[in-house]
Amino acid sequence: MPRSPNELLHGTLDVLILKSLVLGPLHGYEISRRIESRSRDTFTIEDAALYKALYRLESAGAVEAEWGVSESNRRAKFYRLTPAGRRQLAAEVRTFRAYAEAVLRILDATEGA
Amino acid sequence: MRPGGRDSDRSWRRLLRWPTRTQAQIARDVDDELRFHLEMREQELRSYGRSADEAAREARARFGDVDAARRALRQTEHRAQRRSQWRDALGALRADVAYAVRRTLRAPLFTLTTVATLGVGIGATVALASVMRRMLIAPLPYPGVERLVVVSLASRDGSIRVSMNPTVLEAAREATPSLERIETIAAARKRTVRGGAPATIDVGLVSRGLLQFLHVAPALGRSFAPDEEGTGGAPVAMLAWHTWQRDFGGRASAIGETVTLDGRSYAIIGVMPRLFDPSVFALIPRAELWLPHLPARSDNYLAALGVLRPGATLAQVTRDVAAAKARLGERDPMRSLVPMIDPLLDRAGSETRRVLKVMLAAVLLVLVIGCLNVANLLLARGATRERELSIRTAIGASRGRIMRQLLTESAWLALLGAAAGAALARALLALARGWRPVSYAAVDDVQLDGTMLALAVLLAACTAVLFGLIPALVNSRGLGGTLHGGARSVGPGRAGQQVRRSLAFLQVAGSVALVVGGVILVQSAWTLSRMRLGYDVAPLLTIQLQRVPGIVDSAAIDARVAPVLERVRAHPGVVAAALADGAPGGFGGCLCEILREGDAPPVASQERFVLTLSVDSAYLQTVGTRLLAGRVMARDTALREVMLTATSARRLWPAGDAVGRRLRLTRTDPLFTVVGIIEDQRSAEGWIPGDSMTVVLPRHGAGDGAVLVVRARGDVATLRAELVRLIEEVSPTVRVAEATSLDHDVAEGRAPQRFARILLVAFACCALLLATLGLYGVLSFGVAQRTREIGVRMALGASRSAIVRLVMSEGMLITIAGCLVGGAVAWSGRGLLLAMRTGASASDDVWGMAIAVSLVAVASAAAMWVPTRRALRVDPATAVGAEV
Repeated sequence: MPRSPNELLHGTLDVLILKSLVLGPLHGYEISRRIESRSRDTFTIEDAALYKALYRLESAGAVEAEWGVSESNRRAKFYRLTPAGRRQLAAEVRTFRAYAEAVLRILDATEGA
Repeated sequence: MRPGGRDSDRSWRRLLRWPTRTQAQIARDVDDELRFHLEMREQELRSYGRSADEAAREARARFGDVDAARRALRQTEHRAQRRSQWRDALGALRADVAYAVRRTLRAPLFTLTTVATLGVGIGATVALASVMRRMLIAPLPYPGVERLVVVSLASRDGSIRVSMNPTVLEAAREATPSLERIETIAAARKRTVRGGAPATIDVGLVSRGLLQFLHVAPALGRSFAPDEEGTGGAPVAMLAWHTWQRDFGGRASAIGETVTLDGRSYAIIGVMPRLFDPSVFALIPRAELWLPHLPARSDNYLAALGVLRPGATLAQVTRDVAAAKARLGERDPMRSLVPMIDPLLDRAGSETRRVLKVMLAAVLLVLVIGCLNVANLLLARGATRERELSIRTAIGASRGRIMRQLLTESAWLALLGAAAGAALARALLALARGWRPVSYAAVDDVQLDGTMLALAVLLAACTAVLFGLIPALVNSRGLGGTLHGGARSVGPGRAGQQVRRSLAFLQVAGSVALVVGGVILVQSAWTLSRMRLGYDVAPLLTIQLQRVPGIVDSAAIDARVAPVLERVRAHPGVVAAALADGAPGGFGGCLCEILREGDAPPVASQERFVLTLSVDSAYLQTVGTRLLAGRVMARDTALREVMLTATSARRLWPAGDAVGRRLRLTRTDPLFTVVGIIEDQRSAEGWIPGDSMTVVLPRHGAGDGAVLVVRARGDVATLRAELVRLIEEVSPTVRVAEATSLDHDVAEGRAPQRFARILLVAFACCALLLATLGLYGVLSFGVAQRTREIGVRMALGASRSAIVRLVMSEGMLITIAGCLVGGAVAWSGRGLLLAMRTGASASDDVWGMAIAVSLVAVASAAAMWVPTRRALRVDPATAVGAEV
């Protein structure tokens, strides 16, 4: 059964958020833009889901937020990875990579047969 | 969960980020963030050329349900905030506790002193409070017990009280409207077999109605049935809890076994609950077994317990019982006595109550002195930490934060102290069980129950606040100044030293009060040990004889006792033997008026309790009582000769010419001639009971309840066993109820005094030790703080004696003030000790005070010695340059 991108996205949203913060603090809108552009617009994230995930990550201690000033000189909330978030990201990337490789191996084998 | 390693890092950042936010702030932040997001999105869309309206619509569409998201986010934030608040509080607490633990480990001597001091105070207090709760506060923990009143009979002046008489009881039962009912409790001594050997035990008799009224549910088995109460009922018994535990190992199979009492077999039907022990009211001795009580039977210690009708007063009951007695008229065997009614709970060992109250006061005083000591220690320690605390203040710790940290330290110490105290209390109770006087039997049941443990925790908490806050307050005052002037300024130390001095003064005063009490008790014990009781104690054996149940004819018994006496006298281990109606020092007597010959009988009856001792002619020689004047009375009772004790003789004939005079015991009696005066007869505690007269009458035969007094040659224990066997061999109708050596009886009689004395002396020693430590602490701290001053004085040429005066004057001031105040308190409170000692004179007490004050003075001198030496060894050169 074909799956919509959004459903695929669901479990991996946390990882994508964490990944987007690797290079430095971003506010919510920038996070959403970065995920969309990196995935070459494969994933359109519903913004509500993004914020819920962000708040969840914050209260779990994976990211922390701080109010600052945006490029347009407006008050904005910036999120940054915590060391714990960094570790979580590394772990999830490992898991995801193993998973994806396993799936790809199976898929490649089927194609070759 | 975040790993712990980064905690400090994170909490520090969180502190910089924002403090706790209100609900409104959280809502605003969420709104701001979402608005910002939407606006950014609209801006982006407009940059692709959408109109403002389209952009707004699309931005919202891409967001999803904005309102639902807003609610969800706010909720997440609230929850996160609550969690982090908890985490912060816990983190701070953990930090405080960890810091406190580290500090206690770093100063082991200080910690040990503090914990031991608190432990002793708390432990002793909790143990004693547990005992008091069992014996005084909840002696019979059953609903309705507060409605019970003891109906007893007393002489008109109230000085003599006797237990209820069956005839009066019967009359009162029928006509006392102020009482719902009258129940009874009594005791009897019965012979049984325990562990294969014959033994005499106390058996309790309780009316079924009393058990029902109090809802006493058996711990095991069943209670008495109605048909078991009558004379024809089946012989059944209930075990007392402690008997069940001791003799039956707490086995459920004890139900259905039998016990033999006076040769009759009783089936065990149940076990009384652990706390059912009316002996705490001193109405009856502690019972090993319980039988249903038949009011018709005549018993020892018959006690009538009335159930007060709601709204009725004690005065009404007194009137009702008096009226019932009046209706009996001539048939009243207790005509000269009046009813006396008192609530059962008031009776809970009135003597014991007084002793325990004094002990509790003493132990609380020890606890307070201990707390003062700990406060002093903490205070002195706090003063050495002024710099540390100043620095913490300077880098931004709030006053509240520092107070909290100091309180945590105190609480941690108090917690350790409470734990030590609980352990000590357990140990003390175990010790007391092996060591209590017989009359404190209920102590065996005392357990360190939950309430008492809670009390320990409460005590610890109070103590923590008490000695945690004083140092905190003193320390937090003027903290700022310490850094400015450096430690050279004496500023905050002065105020602290003043507080410390007051604490030391209170300690000395408290310990003087306790030491005076201890010394007075030791003194009275010493007086008592040298006091002549009027008879010899050491080589005497008392054997209580009892007739075999069923034999009523007293002449027949006399005939059988005579050969017993002969055989006993012939035994090689016996120096002398005599018959009397009581053991030496144990008094029987009658209520009668003694009238001198020629005295007109008073109009109103002036009966009082007269101790009578009826003895045979060998008695004086056997027990070693000295004849002071006249001669021993003749054996022939028809001659009507009596002897008086010295005090009684002096009271009746102050001129000292009692010998040859005549008196009657009651107005209807014939005259008796006084032929001899013997020395005063005292009880084991050294009392000459009341202001009563003691009349010694010739014994004409051995009726029921005769006591055989034997002066032993050699080992008393073996002789006792041999004589018991001999007596039962010679006469099958006479039995030995009890055989003890007199010194054992005397020791037992003095045991409560001894118990109280040992406790009070122990408390006094603790208090003295603590006060000495406290004084030492204050003085040595004072010297440490004044090292510079002392150095300067020495450099300027002060003599050694001037330095000694400087240090000693402070200690002397505290000691003298403490002795004065403590002595005054002890002097006014010495009446409290009356129950625990044998009549001492005021001059004894003055000596006691003098000894106590000298003890305290010696202890203070010891406390002053070390600091003084330290002051003398101060090197002016280093002291002046030193940062103190």
